[in-house]
Amino acid sequence: MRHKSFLTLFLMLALALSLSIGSKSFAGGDHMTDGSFSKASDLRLALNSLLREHVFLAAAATDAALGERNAEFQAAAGSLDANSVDLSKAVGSVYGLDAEKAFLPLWRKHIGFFVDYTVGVAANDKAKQEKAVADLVQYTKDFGAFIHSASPSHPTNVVAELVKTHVLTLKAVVDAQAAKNWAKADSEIRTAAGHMQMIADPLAQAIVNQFPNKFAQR
Amino acid sequence: MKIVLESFSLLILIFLFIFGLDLYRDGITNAESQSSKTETENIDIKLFSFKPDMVEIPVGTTVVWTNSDAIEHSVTNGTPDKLGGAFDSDFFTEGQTFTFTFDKPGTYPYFCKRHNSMMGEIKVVPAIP
Ligand SMILES: [Cu+2]
Repeated sequence: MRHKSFLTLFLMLALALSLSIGSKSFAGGDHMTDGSFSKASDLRLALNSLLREHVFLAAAATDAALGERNAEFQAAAGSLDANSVDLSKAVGSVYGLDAEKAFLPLWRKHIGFFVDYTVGVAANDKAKQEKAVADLVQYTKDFGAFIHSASPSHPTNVVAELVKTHVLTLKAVVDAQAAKNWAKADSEIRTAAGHMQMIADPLAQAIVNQFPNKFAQR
Repeated sequence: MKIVLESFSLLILIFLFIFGLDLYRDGITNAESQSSKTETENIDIKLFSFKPDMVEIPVGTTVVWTNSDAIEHSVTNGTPDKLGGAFDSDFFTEGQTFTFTFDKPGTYPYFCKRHNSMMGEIKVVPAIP
C-alpha cells in the first residue's frame, strides 16, 4: 500500500509539473499571437508537453481505474480530457477550426479504447482486451490518415506506426499496473512519455515546413 | 524596331484572341452539358469532415461525395443511433466517389459508420416551378 500511495504522489507531482510546463508553453500569451504559435520552437515544445502530459494523465487514470478508486479515476479522466481539448486547439491553431473539431472526437476515441482495455484487464476479460487492442490498432490507421490529410508530407503508414508504438507503450504501463509491478509500471511510463517526442518532433517539423510563413525558424 | 514591336504586339493579340476563344468555348460546353443533365452538388470528404456539411438542394439534385482522406469513410443516411435507410454508400476510400440522387423533399442527416462524429445533412426542397 505504501508503494501505491508513493506512486500516486509521484504521478501527482509529475502531473503538476507537466501541467505547469504545458500551460506555460501552450497558453503563455507572450509566446502566442492570436492563439497560434509564432515560433517553430514554441510549437515543438507545446506538442511535446501536451503529448507527454497525455501519457502521465492516462497512466494516472488507468492506475486509479485498476485500483477501483473511482473519484481519483474521474479526476484523472477529467484532466486527461482537458489535455485532449488543448491538443485539439493546438491542431486548430495550425490547421483551422474544421480540423480542430474533427481531431477532438478522433483523439478521444483512442482514450475510450484504452479505458475498454483497462476495464478488460481489471475484469480479467480476455475477449474485451483483444477487442480493445484490435480497435486501437485500427485506430492507428485512422490517426495516420488524419495527419496525412492535414500534412501530406506525413505518410499515413509512418504516422500509424508511431501511434501504434504509443498504444503499445501505454498498454505496457497498464499491464504492469495490473500486475502491481510498480517499478516496471514507472519505467514503462517513462518509456511511453519519452516516445511522444517521436511523434511531436516530426509533426512539428512537418507543420513548420508546410507553413513556412507562419513560423519563424527559431 | 517599331515594326518589330508592332508585329510582336499583333502576334500577342492574335494569340490572346485564339486562346480566349478557346476558353470561351470550353465554358459554353460545360454549361451546355450541365443544363442537359440533372443538377449536381459536390461534397468533399477531407480531414474527417464533410465539406460543406450542410447543403440545401432542389429535388432531383445528384450529390457526389468524394473521399479525399487516405482512409475508408461511409455516407450513411441517419444518425449512429438511428439509421435512415434512404442511402448507404458503405465504405469507400481515397479518390473514390459516392453518388446519390434525391427524388423526395425532406431532411436527410447522414454520418460515417467508421467515424461516428462525422455528420452532415442534406435538405431537399421542392423544385422551383
Ligand atoms: Cu469516416
